[in-house]
Amino acid sequence: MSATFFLTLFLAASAQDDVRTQVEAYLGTIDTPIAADRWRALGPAAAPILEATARDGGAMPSRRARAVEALSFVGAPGAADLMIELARREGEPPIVRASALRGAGNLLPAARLVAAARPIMEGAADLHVRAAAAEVLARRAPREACSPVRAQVAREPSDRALAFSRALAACAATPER
Amino acid sequence: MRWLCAAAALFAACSNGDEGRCNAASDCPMGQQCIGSKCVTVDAGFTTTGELGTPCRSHDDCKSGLGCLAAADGFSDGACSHGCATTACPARSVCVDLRATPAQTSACMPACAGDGDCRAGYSCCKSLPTSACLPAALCPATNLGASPDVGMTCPAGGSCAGGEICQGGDPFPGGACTRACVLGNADTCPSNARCIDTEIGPWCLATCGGPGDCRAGYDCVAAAGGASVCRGRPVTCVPGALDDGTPPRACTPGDMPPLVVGNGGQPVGPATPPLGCVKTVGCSALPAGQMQVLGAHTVGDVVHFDVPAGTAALSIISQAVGANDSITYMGVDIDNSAVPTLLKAPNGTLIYDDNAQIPRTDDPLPALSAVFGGQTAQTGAFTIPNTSAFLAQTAASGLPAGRWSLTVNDYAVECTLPQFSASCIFGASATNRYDVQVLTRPGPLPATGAIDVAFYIVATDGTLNAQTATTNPRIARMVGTLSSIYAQAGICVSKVTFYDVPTWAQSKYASGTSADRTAPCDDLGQMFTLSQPGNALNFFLVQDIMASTSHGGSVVGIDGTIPGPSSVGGTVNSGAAVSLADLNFGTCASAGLDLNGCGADLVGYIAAHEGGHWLGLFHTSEATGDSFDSLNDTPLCHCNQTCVGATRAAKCGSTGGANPTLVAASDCRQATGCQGADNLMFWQLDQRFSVGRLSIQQGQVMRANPLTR
Repeated sequence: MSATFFLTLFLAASAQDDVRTQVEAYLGTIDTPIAADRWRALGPAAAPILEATARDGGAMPSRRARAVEALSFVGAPGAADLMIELARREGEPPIVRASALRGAGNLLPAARLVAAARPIMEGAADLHVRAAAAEVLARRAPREACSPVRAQVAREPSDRALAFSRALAACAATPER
Repeated sequence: MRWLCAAAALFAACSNGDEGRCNAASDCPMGQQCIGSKCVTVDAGFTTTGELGTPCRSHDDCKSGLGCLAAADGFSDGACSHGCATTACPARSVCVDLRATPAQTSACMPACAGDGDCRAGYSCCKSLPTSACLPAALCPATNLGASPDVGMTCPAGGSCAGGEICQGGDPFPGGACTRACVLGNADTCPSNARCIDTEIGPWCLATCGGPGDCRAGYDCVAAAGGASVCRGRPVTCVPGALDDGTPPRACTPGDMPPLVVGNGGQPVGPATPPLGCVKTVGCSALPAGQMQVLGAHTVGDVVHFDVPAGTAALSIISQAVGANDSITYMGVDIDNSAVPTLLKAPNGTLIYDDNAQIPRTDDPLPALSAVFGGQTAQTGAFTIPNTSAFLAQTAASGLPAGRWSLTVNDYAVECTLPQFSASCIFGASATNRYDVQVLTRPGPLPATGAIDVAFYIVATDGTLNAQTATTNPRIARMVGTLSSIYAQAGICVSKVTFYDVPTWAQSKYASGTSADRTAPCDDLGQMFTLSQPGNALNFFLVQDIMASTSHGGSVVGIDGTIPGPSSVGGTVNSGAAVSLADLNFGTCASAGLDLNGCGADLVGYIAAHEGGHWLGLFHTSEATGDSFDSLNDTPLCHCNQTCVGATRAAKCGSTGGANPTLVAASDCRQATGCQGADNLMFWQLDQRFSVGRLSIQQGQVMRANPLTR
C-alpha cells in the first residue's frame, strides 16, 4: 500500500479525533451556549458520536439531552426516529424527552410532528414534557395543533397552566378553529 | 464602555450570526422561511425602503443609522426610527416620548397633519405636542372623564378600567391602575389624575387632597400645576435593618452544614403570579457598620462614600429606580448595564473607568486595578479587589482609607458620549436613576470564611420539596460536593436553607426558561425576584435551561450577574439557576468526586461553578481560548497550535469566522499555556479532567465578596 493511502487514513482518523474533541467540548459546556450553527459546522461526522451519547442510558441525563438537541441540528438518517422514540418513552428522564420533542420539531414535517407529539402532549405523565410537546407543536405546526394545545391547557389544573404559556403565546397569532 | 464594545463585537460575531440562521424551514420560527441560510418572514407584500417610519422586521431592514422599533413592542409591522432623547430628529419627523411603552425610549416618528400622512396601521396622533404617526394603541387618548380605579391596587387578573393597565415599578409599589400620557397635555389623563414625568416615563397619577387620600405605601406629593398626586414612596434602605445578627456557624471548610427548611415550610413569593414585571430595589442585609446608603441618583452624579482604614474589600450595588432595560448599539440590542464609572480612591487615583481602553495584550486583565463584568440591566454589583494587581496592592493594609467617589453610570448614558452616540440607535438617556449602596468588608481578608446557601426548589419530581430535601441523601451529597470544592478557597458552608416556590412558579420556570433572555422582565430575572432578603448564595434548581435566541444551546447553569448582588435579595439578578436533571442519576457509591457516575456530584459541581461567578470569578479561559480572567495565578489555555493542534488552530479566534475553534478540557492539561481543565471556573466540564480546583487568588476574590463572613 502506498504512503499516500496511509497518510489519507491518518488524516481521516485525525479529523475524526478533532470532531470528537469538539463534540466532547460542546457537550461539556456549563453556561456557555453552543449555538446550532456551531454544531452544524462539525458536519456529519459528529452524528454517530451524538447518537451514541443520546442513546446511552449510562450517560448523565443533561448530557444526553444536549446530544439529542445537537443531533437535531446536525441531522442524520434516523435522527428523527430517534427523537420520536426518546420522546415517547415514559422511562426516559424528562430533560431527555423534552429535548427530543424540541429536536423532533427541528426535523419533522408538520403532519408527522403532530402525529408524534400530540399524544405526548395529551398523555405524558410529566407536566413539563407535556408542555414541551405543546410548545413545539405550537411553534412548528400551529395550524394543525393550536386547537389541541388550547384544549390540553383547558384540561390542566389551573395552577399548572403557566407551564404552557410559551405554547399559548406561540398560538396567539393563530385563530381558534 | 469597554465592555459594551467587547459585547457588541461578540454579538456581531455570535448572536447576529446565529440569530435566525437556518439550513431548512424547520429551523425557523413559525411563519418564516429559510432563505440564504437566514430565517426570513415572507409575508406577502412586505416591502420597505428602510427610511424612517417604514416597516421593518429587524434592525438590518433599516437604513444606516436607524433601527427597528419592534412589532412585538406595539409597532405594527415594525417601524424604522432612531432615538432622540439626546439627539435631534431629522426634518419631517417628530421626537415622541415612548418611555411609557414597551419600547422604553424616545424615538423619531414621521410628522403628520392627518391620518392620510401615515402608513397603514398608523394614525396621526394629535394628543402629542406635535402630531406624529403612531399605532393607534400607542397614541394616548384624550378627554377621558374620571377613572374609577386610577392609582388603586390592580384588581385580580389585572383588568383595570378601560384603557388603563396595571403598572408596577418604583412609582407604583404593589402595582396600580394607570395609563401612559403626554406631558403637558392634561387631557391624556382621567380628570382625577395628572400626567407626571416619573422615573419610568409619563404616567397618570391619581390626584389627592391630603395624605389620607392615598393608599398605603403612597404619599400625597405636590405636582406641577398646583395639584397633588399619590406617588409611591421610594424604597429607603436603613443600614443594618435586615441584619438578623446571627453569626455564622463555627465551621471548618469542607464540613457538612445543617440543612434546614426556610420560611416555615411555606412557599416564598406571591401566592399568585405577579401582575406585570417585578423590579424590586433591595436593601443589603449586612450589619449597619458595613453598609452605606447613598440613595437614588441620576446618571452622571458623582457620589462619595467612606472607606474605613483596614477595609479589605468594597462592593457597589447599583439598582435602577428608573432606567430603560436595553440599548441598541451597532444594530445589536444589549442589556443596559448598571455599571459605575470613574471610581476614585481618596488620593484621586482612578481605580475604574468604564470607558478606558483595555490594553491589547495577551492577558491584560490581571494588571488592571479593577474589572467590571456584570453587563446586566437593572441591578449591577461591583466588588474590588478583583484583579491580581489590586489584590497585591491591598493585601497588606487594605483599600486606601478615606473618602472615595464614583460616578453613577449605565450604558444608556454612555450612549450620549460623542464617541458612541452615532452607534447607539435607541436607548440613549441621561436621566436614568439608580439607588446606590456601598458595602465594605473589614480587613484584613481572613484565610477562611463562611457562607450561607439557599436552594429554591423550582423543578420537582413530586417528592422533592424543601422538607424532604433536608433528608434526601442525593441532596446531601450535592451539598457535600459544593462544600468540599469551596473548602479549597477556605470557605465553609455555614448553613443551607431550602425553599419551596409557589406552584405557579414551578409551572412557569422549571423548564424552558431561557438563559439568553436576560432582560429584567424575562423569566430568568423574574424567577430570581423570588429570592428572600438576607445574605445567601441563592440557587434556583430547575429542570433545564434553554438558550432560545441562538436556536439551541441549552446550558446546565447560569448566574444572574458577576458578581451577584450579595446580601441583597429579591432583585432580578439575585440568583443563579442550576439544572438538577442529573441529581438522581448513578449510584454515588464512591467517596470522592465522581462526575461521571454520580449525578449529585455533577449538580454540586455546576452549583459551585455558578456560585463562583456569584462570588466574582470569571472563566479562567473563555471557550475561544483568547480571553482570560483577571487573575494571574489561574492557568491559561490558549487557542493556538500548541494547545489544539495545527488543524484546529487554523480556525482560532477571528480566523475561525462565525465558528472559531473552542478549547476543550482535553486541550488544556498539558504544557504551559495549555492548562486549566481542572479548575472549577474553566468554561467546560469534562468528567475526565475536572476536579474543581481553585487558585489562591480565586480564593481571595471569593472571600472578599460580601457573601463571605
